[in-house]
Order: sequence, then C-alpha cells, then structure tokens
Amino acid sequence: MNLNKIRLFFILLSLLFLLVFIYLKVSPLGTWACNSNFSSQNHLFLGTGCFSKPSPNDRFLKEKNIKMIGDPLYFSLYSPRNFDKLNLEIKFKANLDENNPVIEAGLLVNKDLFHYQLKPVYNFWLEDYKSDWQKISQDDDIEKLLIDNCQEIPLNFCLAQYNLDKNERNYLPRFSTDKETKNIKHDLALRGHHSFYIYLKDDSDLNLKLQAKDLNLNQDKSPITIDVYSYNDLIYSEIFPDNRLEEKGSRETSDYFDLEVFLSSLPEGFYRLDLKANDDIVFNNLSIESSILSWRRRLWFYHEIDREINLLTDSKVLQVKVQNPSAFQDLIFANENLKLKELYKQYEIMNKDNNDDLYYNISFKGGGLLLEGPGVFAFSEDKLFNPNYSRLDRFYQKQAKFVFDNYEEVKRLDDGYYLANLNFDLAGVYREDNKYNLIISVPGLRVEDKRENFVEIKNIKAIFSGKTLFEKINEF
Amino acid sequence: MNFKFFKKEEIITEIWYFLSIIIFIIFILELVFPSLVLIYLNPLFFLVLWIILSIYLLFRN
Repeated sequence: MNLNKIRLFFILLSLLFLLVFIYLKVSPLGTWACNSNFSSQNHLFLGTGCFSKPSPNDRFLKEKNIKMIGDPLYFSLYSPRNFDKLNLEIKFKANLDENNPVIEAGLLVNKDLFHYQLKPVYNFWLEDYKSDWQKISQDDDIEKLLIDNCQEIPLNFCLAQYNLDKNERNYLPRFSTDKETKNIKHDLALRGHHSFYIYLKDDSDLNLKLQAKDLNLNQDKSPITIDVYSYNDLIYSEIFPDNRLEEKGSRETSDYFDLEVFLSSLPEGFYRLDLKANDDIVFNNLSIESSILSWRRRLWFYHEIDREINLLTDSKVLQVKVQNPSAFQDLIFANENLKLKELYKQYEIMNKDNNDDLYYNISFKGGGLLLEGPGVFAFSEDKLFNPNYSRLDRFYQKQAKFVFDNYEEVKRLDDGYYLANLNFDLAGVYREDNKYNLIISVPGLRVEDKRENFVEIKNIKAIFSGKTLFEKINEF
Repeated sequence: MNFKFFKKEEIITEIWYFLSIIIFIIFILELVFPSLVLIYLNPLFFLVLWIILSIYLLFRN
C-alpha cells in the first residue's frame, strides 16, 4: 500500500463526512430525530446536542439530571429544516402536589405576544389524586348529568375540564344569561393585550368602539388585532396596522385613535373578544352593547389612572404585579389587605375563607397594577359572568362532581421515571435560526417558596417528521 | 493496514491534511448551515488536535 492510497482513503473519508452532514441537513426520508440525555457527561469531541442548556440558571439545579425548581424553563430545539410534526418524549420524575399539580410543555407560536402552544405532560389531579368524581366522555348525556346532579354548586365548578380541544369543548353545555342588554362604557386605560366576554341576545349587532394610543417604547411597530370568537370558533379578525413612519420607536406617545368592529345579526350567546397588541398599546374608552362585560384572566391598568378602582372577580386567587414605581399601594382582596412594595414581584393572595361566595371584591387606589387570576374580572356584579368550566390546574377548588378531559396518562417505567409523549403540529410555530423555542412549565413553582416540589428531567427525545425529499421535489 | 513501510511523519502529515480538510468542511458547513455540525461535533477538539499536529510537524522539520 502506498501513500497515495492512504491519501485517497482520507479524501474519501472527508467526502463521506461532508455527505453525512448534507444528508442530515436535507433529511431526505422526511424524519429527523435527536436525543438529549441530561444525565450524561459532556464528551470531548461531541457537540452540544439539539437541545440547548435550559435557562434561566436560577430555576434548575444541575445534579445527576436537571432538577427544575422554578417555573418556567426555556430550551431551544434545533431542527435541520422545516418539518410538519414533532413528537417529544420526556423522561422525568415529578415530586408535585396540589400547589403545583401540572407540568406542561410547549413551543413558541407568537414571538410578540409570547404565546406558547402548550401540551400536558403530567397532571397530579388525574394521576395521583384520589377523588370520587365521575369521569365523563362525549358519549354521555352531559347536559342531563349536570342538571340532575349540580343543584347545590354552580355549573362552572360542578364540572371540571382539562386539555379539551375545540371539538370536545363543543360537547359541553353552553351557558346563557337572562341579564338585560345595555350600552356598557368603560373608561379605564388598559395596557397590552386583553380579552373579554360579552353576551348578545338573538339577532343582535356586535358594535365595539374603543380608542388606543401607542407609547412607541419598543423598537418594533405595534399593530393591533381584534379577534371575535363565538364560543370556540374564530368568526372575525381585523388587523389595525401601525402606520408610524419611523423605523424605530420614538418614545413619543401618539394621540388616541379610534378602533371599531361591527358585526350584524349575530346569534344569541357568549362572545369572546381578544384585543391583541404588545405592551406599547394602551386601550381606553370602550363602548359596547351587551348583557355582561367580563375581562378574562388579566387586567393591566395603565399607571396614569389616579382614581380608586373597585372590581369583582370569581377567582379565589389573585396575582398582582406592580408595573410602575408610582404604583406602590395597598390592595384589598376579599377583605384582606395586601401591601404592594416591590416592583415586578408577583404577589399572590388567596381567599382562605371556606365560604361559597360567587365573587370577591378587589379595590385599590390607582393604576400601574397587573391583575391576573384564573377566572374573570368585572366592574360590577351585573356585568360579571364566567362562561367557562373550571380547569384541573393549581386553582382547582376540589368541588367537581364530573371531569371531562383529554389527557393521556404518563407511562410509569421500572426505574421510577415517567415517560410522557407529546405531539405537536409545527404549522405556524415560530422558528428562528433553525431553532424552535421550547418551554417546560410547572405553574406556581417558585424558587423563593423553598417547597419540596421539583421536576427531575432525565431525557428529552425529539422526533421530527414531514415531507420527504421526493415529495418536496414533486411539489415543484 | 500495515503502516510499517511508512515513516511516522508521513502518516502524521496525511492525518494533518485530513484534519485540515475536515476543519475546512466544518467551517464551510457552519457558514452555510449554522449549528448543524455544532450539535453533533465539537470543532474545538479537531482544532486542538490540528494545532498539536502542526506544532509537532513544524518542529520535526
């Protein structure tokens, strides 16, 4: 054997090296898989793996595996090209209880709104909690079951649901109200995206008028989208573009401009209106004809409001964040006083009275506060109505007689670990620099609580699937 | 493969050529398809190996 043959061997090896990577990039068979074992040590010549290290650093401990002690953890997930579906296999151990009953994982869908498509990984209520509730399915006569068995407790709490898709939610009886229709005006400035419910009588028009202004603090432009949902179906969407001429945010607040949505002759029922916008947008002077006006889960009062605000919620738990240094104040929730002294800290207050109140009062002195809760908020009792069933999450109040869920129990392995299998549709999922953004969330798990609760993640396997090279060529 | 007919330097020189090509391919691949190689291989390993061989060959000659 001469030296030329050795050289030829190395050249062929180099070519093979190149071809292997081109093959991996093109993935001609339409599948690509990768596995990140968080318990293994870094090898000298091996790369980083398709999953990045989790962040932020203070929310996990790197012991034998990744021990998650704070919520949420973010990963980036590499894929060599676009695929249609993703299957994630997560091997983990969960030491969770009623305070943190849920693990969810998901992919970033909307970068501006920070919206993730979440899927259940583990639910304590459905896995390890012993309850005498009755599990129902779409084959049952749900309406009759609820009418016969839910006289003492509100319908919202009598049936609990978890992870239902749009079609499955359609099997649940719909709520209705006989409250009188009136012209509701709302003149408190709200910042960022918001969502609210209204109720229209049969053949009524939806006539929403409101104003908005742009604070121009962000570099990016701030378009506004108003989506209208009838029960679970999106029936209307309108985008109001940001017409500012400058490329970058000038930090000059614009004047208020008008926004209007008009839909005629709608059938009777609840409608959800989503005001989608980034934090630069302040909404004000809302006016609409409806029986109720209940704000869904979130209200961020703009800091320039300087009058007392009184509102109601059906949620036993209230989360509050001070969003502006001028907003330190006392907040009263269900007769309990909460002193708000730290900026951006998430305060959580729970009504511990075991009463059967349907709603709780909230009052505070001015704007600059972000209120969040699992229910709805309204400014008077007659405008409050929650057209949703309770959810098996950390706010679940253990009242349900019936449970309707779409949840696949985790596989329990011999070594004590659980294996969860999640399927994602990648259409519309945000991907930048060949990477998806993955979140693993255990709502309510906070490092500072110093609870014993944790999730130990041993391994995540990602299997992408999509069109083969042949199918892609055929498309052209 | 019987290497006894070759000098050690010749083999090392061939490996050096091979590593040079591999590092070049990694560089080009990373330019064209960012992160593709990095998730499988640690380029630093190849670079350090290449530097060690370069120093060896430099001082042998």
